Amino acid sequence: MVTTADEVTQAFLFSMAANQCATFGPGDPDATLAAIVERARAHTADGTAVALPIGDPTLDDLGVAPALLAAGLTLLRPDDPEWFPGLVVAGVGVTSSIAAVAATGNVALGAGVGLPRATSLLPPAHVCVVRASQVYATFPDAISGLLHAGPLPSALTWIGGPSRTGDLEMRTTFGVHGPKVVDIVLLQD
Amino acid sequence: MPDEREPRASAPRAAARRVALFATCVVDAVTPDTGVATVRLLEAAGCVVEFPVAQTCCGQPAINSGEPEAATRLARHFIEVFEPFDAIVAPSGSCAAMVHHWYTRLLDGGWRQRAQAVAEKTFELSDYLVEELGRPDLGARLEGTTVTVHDACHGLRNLGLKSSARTLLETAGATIVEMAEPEMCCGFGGTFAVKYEEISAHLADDKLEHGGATGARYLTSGDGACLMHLEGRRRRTGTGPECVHFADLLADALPAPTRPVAR
Amino acid sequence: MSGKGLVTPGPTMKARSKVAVGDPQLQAALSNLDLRLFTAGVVQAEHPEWKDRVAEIRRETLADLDGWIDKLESKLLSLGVVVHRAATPEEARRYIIGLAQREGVARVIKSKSMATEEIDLGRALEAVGIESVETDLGEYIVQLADERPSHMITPAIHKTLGQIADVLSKEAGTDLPVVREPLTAWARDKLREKFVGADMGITGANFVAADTGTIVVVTNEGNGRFCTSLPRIHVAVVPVEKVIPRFDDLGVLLPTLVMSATGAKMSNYLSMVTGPRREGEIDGPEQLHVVLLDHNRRVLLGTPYEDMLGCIRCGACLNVCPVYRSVGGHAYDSSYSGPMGKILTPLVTGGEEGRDLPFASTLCGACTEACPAEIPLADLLVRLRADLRTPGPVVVAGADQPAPPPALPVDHAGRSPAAHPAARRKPGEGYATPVTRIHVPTRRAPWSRRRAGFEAWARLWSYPSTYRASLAVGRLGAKVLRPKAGWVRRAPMLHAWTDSRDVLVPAGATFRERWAARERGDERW
Ligand code: SF4
Repeated sequence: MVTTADEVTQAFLFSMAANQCATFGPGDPDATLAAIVERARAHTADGTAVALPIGDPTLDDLGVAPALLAAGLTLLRPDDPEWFPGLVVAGVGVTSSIAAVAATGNVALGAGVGLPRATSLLPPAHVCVVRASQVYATFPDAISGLLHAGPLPSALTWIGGPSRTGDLEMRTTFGVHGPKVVDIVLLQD
Repeated sequence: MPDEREPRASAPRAAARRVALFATCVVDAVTPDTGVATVRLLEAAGCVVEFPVAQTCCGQPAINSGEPEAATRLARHFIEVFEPFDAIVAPSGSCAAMVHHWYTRLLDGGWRQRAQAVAEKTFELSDYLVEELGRPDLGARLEGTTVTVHDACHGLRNLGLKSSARTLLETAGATIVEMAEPEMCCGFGGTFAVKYEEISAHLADDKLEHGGATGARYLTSGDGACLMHLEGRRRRTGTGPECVHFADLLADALPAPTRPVAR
Repeated sequence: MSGKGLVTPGPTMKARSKVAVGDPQLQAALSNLDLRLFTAGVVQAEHPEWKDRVAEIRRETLADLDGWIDKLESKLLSLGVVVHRAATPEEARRYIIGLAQREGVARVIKSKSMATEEIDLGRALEAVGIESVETDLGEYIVQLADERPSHMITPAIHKTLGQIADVLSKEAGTDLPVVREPLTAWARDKLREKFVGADMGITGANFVAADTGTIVVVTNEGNGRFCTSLPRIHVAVVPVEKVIPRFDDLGVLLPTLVMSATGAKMSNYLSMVTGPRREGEIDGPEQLHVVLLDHNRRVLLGTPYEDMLGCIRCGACLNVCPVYRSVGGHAYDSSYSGPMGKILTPLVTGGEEGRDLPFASTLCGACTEACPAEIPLADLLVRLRADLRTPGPVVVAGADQPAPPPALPVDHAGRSPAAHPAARRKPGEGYATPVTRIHVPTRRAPWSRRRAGFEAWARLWSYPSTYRASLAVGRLGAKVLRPKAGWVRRAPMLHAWTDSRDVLVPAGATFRERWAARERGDERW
């Protein structure tokens, strides 16, 4: 059983890696930001855009938008009238999570104003920033925690890793409908 | 996960040496040798065996055919015949499970209480010898004999039987080689064996193949009906180890009786 | 069902089973199920306390199902969800098709759901000219093949990779390689076209929480996310027993469901939908409709079959079932297959379908052992064999049910959720009269040859003298018809046995005769 915060964090990274995610961190805000920019750049090497929510407290605190712009990347924001068609061809969606679980290895994303559901769905890659303080040891803990953290968002999406299926003779095959690549960047807060 | 299975109806009690044999209708009518073997094993364990001649069938064919009234009639008869005895032993996990699992579900009121009382003292043979009497060593010698054990379903899942037959065989010196999926059904299933004969044979083939892959000389189990189905299939296809009741294996390996068994 | 879309067609389960065991492709495909043989044990091994908790939650729900449904309904209404109570599949279909037509829906994208399979929604939509696309890869494959899903978790388990490649190649109009990744990539691109521009997403629900009104959809591929995020209308078809009291219960229910289904710790995606899109949000459905489907479920409450409503559709009972593993899902010719399907199908169809299914079981009990909701599946199969003796709807032994709640007219056309009749509904009201009768006790089962035979047999075998006589007659018969004793290949009247196995013809004394001989001292053991 994982007990200390550090053990929970390590277990979380281990579980996400087991789910075929690339993991980065835990790092301080600077290291985290650097990792986000590096991953975003890697996923948009072909000149595609980075889809980025508006008003996400974690991403705003880190200063992700200015950093991506400073890195010369193209941003696609939800207030853009061409958001949806743009998202279909974007290279990566960057989001934060509102909870994560060490034991099962998954992250929870909440939809909201400026935080569209499709950011983490349509682009082929997803970079998700997770605060270490939001990692729960077990799934039941996370469910209780979210319930007591306030009203549930209209859409709460749990993601384990790249999209997958077992429908072809029961062997796991990746990249069905959702992102084919999921990067987890852990922020030590 | 034996603890997930139905709890044992009774905790082991002080050894009851006088036992009533419930031979089961299959043994009585078709495989009497298994009945003889059962008596010899019980006597080797120091029991005084009685055979209440009024006994017939536990009623399982009826309940499994969706005829609870007929099953209830036979359940009442079983209870009347066997309730005077301290312990009732059957060489069949399935028939013992019928008493344990279904009698209390079929009967009401006073009959249910009587059913409960009878169930508490009804045992499958290996369970009785190993768990109840604590006598796994019966003097049988099976050194050099390789055996693979099929966990017949009702004994396994309704009575929680898993280790007792293996314990008897191992104590006798037999080498047990476990097959793949020993807990998978052999496909007998009572009337299923004839109603869905194709599936039944298909499952028997799987079982015989798994048993054969162990290289064991015998495939053994605690249910005569399953074994008749498996052995019948083996004789038809030529695949798999000889299928024998563990009681027959053990009794054949006991020191010879004072006079040979009449045939 | 009609027998349509089955790889193992036939008029009866027996006939279909015969085809299935003789189909080498099907047998090869089914062998993949071995990978899931262990899944039922995972929960038990890792969290032994969960099974009891799951069963407890399900029993708590069923003990006051109408109460929880009412609670759920008021919560959903307060979130702006439109709730429709449908007593029958026909009513559910009519509502959804009506809605689609009113809203000018041209294309529906569907996420795999047993409930929509039960009401045959996809075909009904297609029949009125609305394109309905299955988005789960397995479902998409069976839809393209014009077949039915054969496993509730892995719908195309009856197909080998080669067969799947054939199906997809036909649709692609070019030969796709028999390799998983390119096949998946092709389907990804193809279905992307369908996702974009679909007006309606239809899902089932794995659970719906009464306290928060949250609809939970479990997937691995992400298609459930598409169906609940992109189209402007989302319809969730929810059989009434999917309600759970509390959101908090998901903490145990979801991991138990997923582990029992696939052995994984958690599914790749969980979509938890609490109401339609909110003000200021730019995606998510503008309209969210929940269709609560009864279909002969509530009449089971208070009967021995109530436990069946505790099913969380994990498929573990299928994976461990010797019969399912031998014949696959199409042999059942029913939306629900395997052990749970053998019970649920005759019950929810009011005895119109699947009457032979409960007999297609060895009663080995592997299903009962596997079931994370602690449903006594093998016992229910045995009960159902008795309760199906009366022709017509299933008659539940000895259960006296209160009269079902009265019907209310249900018509929501053009009404806002606030004007929804459900808002004025009293607890438990609102479904049409169910079809299933539940009052005649088993003892009143009508005469049948089988019943008469068993009664006569039980009577004979209740007396030692007549039992002995019957054994003697049997011996005599064996002697007369077949002088040779021992293992034989053929025996008169036993062809159902001897078609596939030798039979042991007994010879000599019965056990009781030998016992008597020993008592007399004629025989020594
Ligand atoms: S009956 Fe039990 S094992 Fe079968 S699908 Fe339902 S919950 Fe799973």
